[in-house]
Amino acid sequence: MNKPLILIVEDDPPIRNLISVALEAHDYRYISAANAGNAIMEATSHNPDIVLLDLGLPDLDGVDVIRKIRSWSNMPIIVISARSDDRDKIDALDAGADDYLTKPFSVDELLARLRVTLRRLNQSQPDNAEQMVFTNGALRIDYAAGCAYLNDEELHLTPIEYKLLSLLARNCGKVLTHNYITQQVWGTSWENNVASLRVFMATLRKKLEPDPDSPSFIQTHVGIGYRMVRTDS
Amino acid sequence: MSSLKQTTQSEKRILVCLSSSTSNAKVIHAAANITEAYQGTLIALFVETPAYAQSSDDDKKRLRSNMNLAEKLGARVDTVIGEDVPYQIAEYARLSDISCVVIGQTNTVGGLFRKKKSLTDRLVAYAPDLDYFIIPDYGTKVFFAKKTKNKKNGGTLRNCAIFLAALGLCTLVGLLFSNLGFTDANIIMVYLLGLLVVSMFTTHRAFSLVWAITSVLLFDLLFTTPRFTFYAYGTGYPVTFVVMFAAAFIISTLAIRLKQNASQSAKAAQRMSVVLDTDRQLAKAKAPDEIFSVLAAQLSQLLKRSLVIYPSDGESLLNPNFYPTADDTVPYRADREKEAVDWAFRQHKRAGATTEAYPQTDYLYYSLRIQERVYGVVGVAVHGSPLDASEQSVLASVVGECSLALENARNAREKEESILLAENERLRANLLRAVSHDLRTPLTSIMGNADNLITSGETLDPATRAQVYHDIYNDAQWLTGMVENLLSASRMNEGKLNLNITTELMDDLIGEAVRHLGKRLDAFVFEWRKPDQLLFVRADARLIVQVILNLLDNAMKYTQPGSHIWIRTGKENGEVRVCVEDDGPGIPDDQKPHIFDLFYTSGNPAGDSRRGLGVGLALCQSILKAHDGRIWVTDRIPRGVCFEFALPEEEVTVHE
Repeated sequence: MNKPLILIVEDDPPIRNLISVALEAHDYRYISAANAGNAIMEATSHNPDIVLLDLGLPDLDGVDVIRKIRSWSNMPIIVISARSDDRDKIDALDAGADDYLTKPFSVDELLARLRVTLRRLNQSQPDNAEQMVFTNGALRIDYAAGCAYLNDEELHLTPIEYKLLSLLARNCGKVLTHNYITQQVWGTSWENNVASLRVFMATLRKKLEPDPDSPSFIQTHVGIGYRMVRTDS
Repeated sequence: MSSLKQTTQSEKRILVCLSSSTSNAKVIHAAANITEAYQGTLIALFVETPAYAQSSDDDKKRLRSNMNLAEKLGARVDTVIGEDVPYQIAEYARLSDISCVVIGQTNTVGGLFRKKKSLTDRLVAYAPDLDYFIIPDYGTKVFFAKKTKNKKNGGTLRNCAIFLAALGLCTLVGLLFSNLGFTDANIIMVYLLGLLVVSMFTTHRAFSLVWAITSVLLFDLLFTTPRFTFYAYGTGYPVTFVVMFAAAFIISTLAIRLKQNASQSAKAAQRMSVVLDTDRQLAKAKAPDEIFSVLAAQLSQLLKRSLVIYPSDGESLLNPNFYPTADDTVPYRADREKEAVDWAFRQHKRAGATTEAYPQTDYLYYSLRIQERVYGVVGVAVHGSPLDASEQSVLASVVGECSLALENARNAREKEESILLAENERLRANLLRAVSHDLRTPLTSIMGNADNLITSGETLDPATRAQVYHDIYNDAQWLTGMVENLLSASRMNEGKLNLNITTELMDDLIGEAVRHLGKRLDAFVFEWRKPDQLLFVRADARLIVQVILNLLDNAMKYTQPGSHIWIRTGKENGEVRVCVEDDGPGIPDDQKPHIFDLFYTSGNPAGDSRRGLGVGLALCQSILKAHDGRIWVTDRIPRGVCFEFALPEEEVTVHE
């Protein structure tokens, strides 16, 4: 496969430099942009595999950049946020970002996120919409039958647990916010449903994860949401 | 205090008497002129008599327009309830320190059994010390000359029933007496007794008078010889008739007045109790919202009308709250009422129905204000039936009480805020000082190491170079932890409202902290023990993660690598408890009381000058305080230390 092309959108030169050095050292191609205007232009002209987007840009809010890109493309976007508040990450995820990184982050973390996203890209390319069976390591979901299997044994899930699991599976690799999940599962997103979500997620994990302390299928992102990760390969 | 008293003494207070007379406007204008000449204050007083309730709508309308006029000319309008008008005026003047009374000459109250002495004469007799200005008016009609006939017919049927029952009963008893051979005088007594009953229990005097005539005729018909004719042979009988008729008239007059007085004083007592009750409830209410709901509750109890309350944020009015009565079906037309509401808000005066400003609206609006500061506007549904004068006055006093309560609440809040601000300011200054001092050490190390690599990186041997890289990385990591704490601290300083409270699973929070520490924990024997049940808390996730991080971080900092670190969770007395233990050297008892103090760092034996700013535990404590939780430290037996914190447990109801 070709070397993946990454678009780095970051206004701070040392950080841009750091990321590009790390990418070059790990066999990625990259282009960079220092502001939102350039970012959108580069995204349209080069159609990169992944966008690394800093949320604090001088000319336009990062969330608006996501909306602009999402209006014509589904290219994966990983946001980089320096703000300590979770709000902007949630806004970015709800606007269509796939993942986030918080400054300060280590190069290891950055590379891990890129790998996860690339794997998702590769896996979901063949007719992703028509996929009737989802497999992720020992987990298999038969959407048509409405059943989930772990090591070929059927999991006895309540309707809500199944809904949660299939929602996460369909968006495997993407961080889904609490708000998004409760909207999808209950149709509303009141506070009460977020509490219910945690209960169902805990019971789902008990059935799903061999060791609930170090979950391998579903990650918790405290204050933000949940994500299913690929465990195969 | 003394200056205040002087002004009230030197300032003339002028009282003008309001009435529904057309000439009253002239009197009010004259009073306003006099007030201006004296540079005094004008008070307009209306004495609500029992007869007022029966006066015609025209009279009521005129009275209202006179009140509005007085208000427009700067008078404070007040109402008292009583029967004896001059006595009420004199009493009011005495209590309110009035020096001067302006009154129209023909302002007399009609009453058949009262001496035809003018109101002014009697007023002078009651209060001889006052100055009087008598404004003559000619040819205008006397105060309540015209009584209305439009009384409701609801009670008529009941009255007739009472009347007929009493008449039948009296006649039966009369016939019985007559058969037993009692004298006529006894029978007359029975009819008089019936008269008393009828005047007490019917609502209109006509029944008493009809009773007088009917009973005389019946007596004549049934009990005087010749019986069953209207002739009477005895010479004394005409006198009996006349006396009986006169007695009927007097008794009915007295009974009606008695009833009116009773209902008036009941009304007055009820209003007084509402005002007192308002006071009592306002004493308990602290927040503006509570005060508004007290206002709404009291006014709906008092007036039995729909209400609308617009709170104000000081600059403009916020969205209104409605308090409709059960039987009010008229929708509130906010757009039509808007101008009247705004007028009441801007002009600090009454507006809306029955006033001069926007009288076409459905509601009457009062502003809740103290001097120039308006706290809101309250509207009372009028819907064509205006409030009477005493209702208005009690409404004004309840509104006044609430405005005062709102003012007090505001003052208390401002004071609280300024104390909090000062406290925050102090904390911030301390924090800045500590930060700028203590962050220098790691920064110096990073800069120096980086400088070494730039200038002489090639000349260093690989082992040294690796050490330099690690030092830079570790110092940066230390700074990162520090910055996280400072960010949390700054969020705490912005106040409790800034917390992002959600329902969180405690295991998720611990998991996040453990994940965050990552490889650093590998140098220790770490064990996480948790119960099977799910423990939920209401918390700001980031801040509680920060608490757990700080506790784990301390455990790692103050013990040697290879030590044990445990984290335990559990539930006790409705609290979720988390305990972080280690088997390190522990904390001496004399240091325990201070470890949660800001900028307290223990003298450390290892001589490592960079263990912390003394921010971590202080921050943990303030985070837990903000969550209504607590944190404490105990010794671990046989060795080590145990930091434990508790948060109120949250019950979660699951939505399927």
